[in-house]
Amino acid sequence: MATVVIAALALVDAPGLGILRSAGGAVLGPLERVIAPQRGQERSALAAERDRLQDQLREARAESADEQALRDLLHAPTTAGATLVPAHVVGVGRVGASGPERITIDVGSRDGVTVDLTVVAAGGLVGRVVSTAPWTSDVALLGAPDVVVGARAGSTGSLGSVSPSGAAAPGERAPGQLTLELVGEGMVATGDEVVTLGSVDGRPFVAGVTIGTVVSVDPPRGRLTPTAAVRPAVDPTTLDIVGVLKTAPRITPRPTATGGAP
Amino acid sequence: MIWPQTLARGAVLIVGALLVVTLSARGFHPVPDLVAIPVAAVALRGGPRAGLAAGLVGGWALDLLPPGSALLGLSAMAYAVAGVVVGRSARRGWVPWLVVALQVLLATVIVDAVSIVVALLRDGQVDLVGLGWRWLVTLTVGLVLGPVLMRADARLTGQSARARVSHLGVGR
Repeated sequence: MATVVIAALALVDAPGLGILRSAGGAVLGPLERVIAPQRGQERSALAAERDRLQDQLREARAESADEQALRDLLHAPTTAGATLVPAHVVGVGRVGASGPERITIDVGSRDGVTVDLTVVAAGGLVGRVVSTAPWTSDVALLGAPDVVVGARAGSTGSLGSVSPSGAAAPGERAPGQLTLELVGEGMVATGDEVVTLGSVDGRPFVAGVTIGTVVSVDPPRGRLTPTAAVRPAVDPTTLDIVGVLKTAPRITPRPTATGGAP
Repeated sequence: MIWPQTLARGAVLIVGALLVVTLSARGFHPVPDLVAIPVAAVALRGGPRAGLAAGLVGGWALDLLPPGSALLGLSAMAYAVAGVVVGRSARRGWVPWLVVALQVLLATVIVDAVSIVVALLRDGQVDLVGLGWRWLVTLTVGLVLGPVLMRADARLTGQSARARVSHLGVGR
């Protein structure tokens, strides 16, 4: 009975349920950090030599992959000029009918992460922080039903919003695709890049982060505004290293420099 | 002395939930429904009430284990329903492996049916291909793990019964 009441309260987004999530995060979050891939830690000296060497080899490969992923993240246009907290994905919520909707990362309030910060990967937007515990944070992924992002599309910067289905009919989108719904008479074409419009104070989404690419424009019949299918820049099922943006990426042009100056 | 069995069931359910959440983060796709398997095993052994309790424990573990469910309590309700439905097929004695696996599949399909309804109500998409793969993987793992869990549960039941008899002084 209590379960039904709590589910009903969650459905209407009643306040106070965050306490339950915070308690779960504080108690169970560290458990996930322990179970998650641990890199750079020495194995027990009692382990057999062969196993130890195999572990070292595996760790070296993992560290190398991690370093590469971190380098990619720090050199990506998405994070250029931004201050960010790098993080590992340590948990993915039970994948429902719509695919993964939430993930847990191994940085929390003690690392300066707060609710409504933007989370990115090297390819582009991942989602936004929805709750924090001391050592972990939960992130609502782009593509979750309740994540709607203001967006600019194409070279003309047409304004719109990106959501899982939007005005599209059920089954119209391939799994994983998003719907871009333009505002007014905006123009969009296949191949256009879609980036975040940016929220007030950069929360929950900073401006200029790649969301994805337009893969098809829907026929105009029966629609008030143009809509299009968007392929996300980031595959949520392959996430490993992500970054929590504490400041927005640089969007102003870099000043020019003169060559040959002393 | 029913505590060992209850504790063991709870531990298996929580470990199952923990594995579901962490295996995805390690790149395993699709991850079998490792909560539905113990829920079905407990329900087949103990009936609808035991299935309900197991479903609530496993579901709440998934709801509260970070990142948790988007709708708090939804997993608990879905697994509880699955536990009750599977529990109606409970029988004494040996249960064929295939029957156990099919009941595991039934449990996970019930849970996913709830998530499909919720996704449609929230204007989300439904990835039937992804769900189909997970059902197949869950069926396969359930074919092995389900009977093993049931046998372990039966052993604990036997131990609990013997302990109860011994405590009451019966049979001395």
